[in-house]
Amino acid sequence: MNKNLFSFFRICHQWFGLIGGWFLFVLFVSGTISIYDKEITQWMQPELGMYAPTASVSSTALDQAYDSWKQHKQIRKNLIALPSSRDPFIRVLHAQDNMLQGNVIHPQNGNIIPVRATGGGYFIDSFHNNLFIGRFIGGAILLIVGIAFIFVIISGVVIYLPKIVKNAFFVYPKPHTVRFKSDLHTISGFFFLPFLFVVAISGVLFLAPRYLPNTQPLPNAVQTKQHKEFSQQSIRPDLLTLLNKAQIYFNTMPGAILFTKKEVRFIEGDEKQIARLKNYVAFDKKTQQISSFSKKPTIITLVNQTLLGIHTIRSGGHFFRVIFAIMGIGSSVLIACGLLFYSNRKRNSLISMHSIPQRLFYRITEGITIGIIMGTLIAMITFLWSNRLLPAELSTRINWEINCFFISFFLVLGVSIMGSILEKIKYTWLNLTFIFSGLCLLLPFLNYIQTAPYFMAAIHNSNYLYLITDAVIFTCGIIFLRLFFYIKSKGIH
Amino acid sequence: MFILVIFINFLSIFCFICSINTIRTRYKLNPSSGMESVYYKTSFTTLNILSLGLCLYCWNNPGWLIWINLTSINAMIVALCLGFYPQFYIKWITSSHSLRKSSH
Repeated sequence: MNKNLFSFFRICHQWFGLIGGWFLFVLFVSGTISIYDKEITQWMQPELGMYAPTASVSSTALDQAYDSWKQHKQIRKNLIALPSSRDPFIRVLHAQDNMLQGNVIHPQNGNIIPVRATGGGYFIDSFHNNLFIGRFIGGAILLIVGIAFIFVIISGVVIYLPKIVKNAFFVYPKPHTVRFKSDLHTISGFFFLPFLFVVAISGVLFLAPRYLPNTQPLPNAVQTKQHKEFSQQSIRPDLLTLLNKAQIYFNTMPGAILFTKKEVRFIEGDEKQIARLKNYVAFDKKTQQISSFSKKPTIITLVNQTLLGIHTIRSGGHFFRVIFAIMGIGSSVLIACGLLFYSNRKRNSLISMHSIPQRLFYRITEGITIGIIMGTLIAMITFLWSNRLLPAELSTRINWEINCFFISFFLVLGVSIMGSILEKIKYTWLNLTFIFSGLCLLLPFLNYIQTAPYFMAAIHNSNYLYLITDAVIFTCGIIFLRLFFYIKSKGIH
Repeated sequence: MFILVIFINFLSIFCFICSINTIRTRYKLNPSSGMESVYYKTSFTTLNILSLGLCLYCWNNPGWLIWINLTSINAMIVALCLGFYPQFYIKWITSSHSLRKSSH
């Protein structure tokens, strides 16, 4: 290959990888966690542990859900999420403050379950989708990051492929060395290439349509008009009859119910097929007969929907989700290794650097890298801690949970930059890994102290979600405690 | 079933690395003979296709996707094991060599 072209790709991989990598690490961590968004939402509402999961839905529950939905029907995005194997409750959701919120209804007796207000998995989803800074601006930033990510992957393939074929399956077995980070970065990039490509392309496909010219009428305007007219009519449809018809139509329980002026629309559950088809069947409210249904997708649409379906990972069961979570963690490690490899290499070359601004620049860069890696992890665990520590009756507790997340993130980022400027890299790493490990190890105990009756009731109901989540968090703590002792004994190079 | 699929897939990757001569050169081992290479490559292909088949059989829709990602994860695990604990690989290659020699 042309030497200049090769050098161009190397520089692009380095700089796009550095700046994009900061965002990508946050995205991969939040994306990996949001694979379990429904489970996290349930963990963050421990009161749900008191109720045994049921498969059927009663007419009372659907009527209650409808009445609950009516309170927020003026909001653009609102729906009734029906029970599924992952979340066995009816949720009446509406978009507010950049994420979904709403009531939880018992699918049998129709009572509104008094759960604590929480951002839950919906916040992590929103953070992954738009960094929680708004659909338009956040989406635009992520779209740019997504395009840069595709370019980073391509440039990585171009610069590493000649070497990787020869050096595949070889990791230099000394974790404190720069060579180890380089090897781990290269081989994980090589082995995870199909996953990374699919995730990058599907991520861009998700975001790009928002910024393409739309010839269809704005749903916002239409829906607002519909809601105005609808509020005047306000007849409660017989949802159970319609649900049974929809169930026969899809041959499975639908995933959600949407309402328009004339129709009640049932959306197919997304746990059956990998493609994100969003099939629906709509019933006329007066006649209760099918008035419209989704059309069969074209090949191009199906490819697009399959890619989007792979990205959102709603089907495939537990094993598939575990596999994807491992890939997500692996990809986060890949990005972290790339960032650390860059920082370490630059730190080694700082000795020969005499320009103070240049030295300061690279130190700040390293500080940001440490801050992003540890800040994201600490912010996530602080979010869970705040859920257990904030009073359940606090009216603004969702906002406080999210504030705790961002305060801890920026605090860690600031401390890391300061630590790096003051040349206290090892000290910073040690403190941050210890804090993260401690928070992970203590959270299950706090959870038990705070929510023991719910926890025990959940186990009694054969609902092991709370136990498994605690076990995973505790394991994370052990891994980071091991890392802490490793850094303490070997140091950071 | 998923334990079986993981095991078969893992084994197939191990067969694959046993067939690569560059790894043997790194650990100063004898290069594989013609027949040995054929055995390992055949085992790799058979076991990997078997794991794909099992994935498709057990997980109806995204079975192929599970197989791709499982192979990636197992390849990564094998690479890490090979880096940190090469003695297992060396022991296997040397013992299988001595077995073949004694059978001749």
